[in-house]
Amino acid sequence: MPKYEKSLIEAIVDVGECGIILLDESRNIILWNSWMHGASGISANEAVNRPLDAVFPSITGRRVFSAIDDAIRRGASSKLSHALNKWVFSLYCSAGATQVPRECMEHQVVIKPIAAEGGARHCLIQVSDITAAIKREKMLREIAQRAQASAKEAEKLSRTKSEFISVVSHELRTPLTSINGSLSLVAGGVAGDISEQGRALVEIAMRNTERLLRLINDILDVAKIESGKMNYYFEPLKLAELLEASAVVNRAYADQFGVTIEICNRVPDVRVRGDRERLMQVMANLLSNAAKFSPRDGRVRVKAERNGDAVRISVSDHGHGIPDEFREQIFGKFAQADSTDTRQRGGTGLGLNIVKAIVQNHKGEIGFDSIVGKGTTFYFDLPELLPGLLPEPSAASRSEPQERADCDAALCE
Amino acid sequence: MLNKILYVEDEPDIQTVARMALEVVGGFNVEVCSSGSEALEKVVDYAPDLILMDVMMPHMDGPATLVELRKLEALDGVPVIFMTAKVQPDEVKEYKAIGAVDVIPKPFDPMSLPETVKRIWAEQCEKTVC
Repeated sequence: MPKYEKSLIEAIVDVGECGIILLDESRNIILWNSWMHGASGISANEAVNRPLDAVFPSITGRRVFSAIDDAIRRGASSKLSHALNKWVFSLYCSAGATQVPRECMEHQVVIKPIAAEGGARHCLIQVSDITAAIKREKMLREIAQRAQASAKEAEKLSRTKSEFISVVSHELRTPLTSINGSLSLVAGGVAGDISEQGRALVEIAMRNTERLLRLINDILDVAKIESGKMNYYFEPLKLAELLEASAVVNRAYADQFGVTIEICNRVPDVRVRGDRERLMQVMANLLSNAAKFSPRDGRVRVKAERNGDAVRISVSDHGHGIPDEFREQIFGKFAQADSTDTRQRGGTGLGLNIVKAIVQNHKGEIGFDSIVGKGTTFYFDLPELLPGLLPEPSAASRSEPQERADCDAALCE
Repeated sequence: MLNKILYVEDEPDIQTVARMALEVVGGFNVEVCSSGSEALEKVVDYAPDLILMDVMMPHMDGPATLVELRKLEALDGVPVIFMTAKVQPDEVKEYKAIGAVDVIPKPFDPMSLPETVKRIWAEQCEKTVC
């Protein structure tokens, strides 16, 4: 240790970013650093040689008082927990600030016994400013609370939205159920014979009720998609079976336009993971579009083939094709190339928008090729479900699509 | 033979349409109830062969009524079919879990409703050998 030991110690005590108080065995202050001066407003001259409880009368009877006693009498160290020992000393933030009143300093107190001459024990008190940490902690707590509150709010909003969709869906369908039902009974002759004109009028009403119902279903689907409420029930599906079923279900509709649906399946054994109802909806949309835009006695071809790791399903027609200027908006809402199409062909203009969302939810992509005057092909790719990922299909279920592949081979060009 | 049908529906217009379909087109004997509690009151006396019931009804909905119906011994083996627009797969699963034999989606076609009901009843008979 150099000769200037005392002044060195004083310097070290003063440069530190914490308060240092040294007490003798009678709790008189021996040392009071400049940090303490700044935080308490009491100078070393004013503090030294006075008992600590004379400088800070509020410590009498508190935990800090007995901790100092324990250090001097028994040589025990202690660190006072901040939560239980707030504002032990009267200390203030930002020494020298002009702000009145000065902000109380949150501080942490550590007490250590020091062996002094002649077997006596002195007590060193170290005080650190933890105001910033406490503030940060408080702020984080507030942020967490706010985040929790807004998550709750969002959940509530989303619940309201799905309730709305469910109520609207029920309220709109209920009157349509009786309208459609009444008309169907009248048309069926249940209410007695009707004239030819009467029948024609009832059929117009029925056709338009059905159209209204389709529109409601499509609008509800769009609402569900946009609020993320469209539910999917994924399961392993035999693609061949799905395509067959979609052709059967849509045959009656195609018949109205004198259109035949052909299936050309190059991947008869492939399975995909999908929601059957939703994929049937995709096929119904593509098939009905293809049928209604086909020339009379036209053919609509459904084709399934491998495309890299995926399976590509396409629906082609020989219709008048999609005009260039319309291609951009084809997957938009209420999109139809010619607004008279809505009336003449009875679409809702929402179908392809819904189809795209469903395909994307199957991790698939949808697209189309179209030549004006020649026809249009819509296609979508679905990831193939690999055989290793599901139980082996039984021999009986396997043989069926293979036979179909043979008889369809002639249709694949 | 399927003859007596208890039909539970709170919407009067749909009641009229379905009743006409079941009586005139199907030739069934139909007792109509406008609520779940009315159905519970009438069901034992009427002793139906089959129950057709709406799902969304005020006070006591279809599923709640079904749970009560299932407690009545006299109704053991009487199939219950729901008629509803709520036909999401998980909803249908729930109806079947509490004992509905099938679901007819709304809007329904009244001309084919009697055939649909007969088909479900026949399928049910095959299962239970009635």
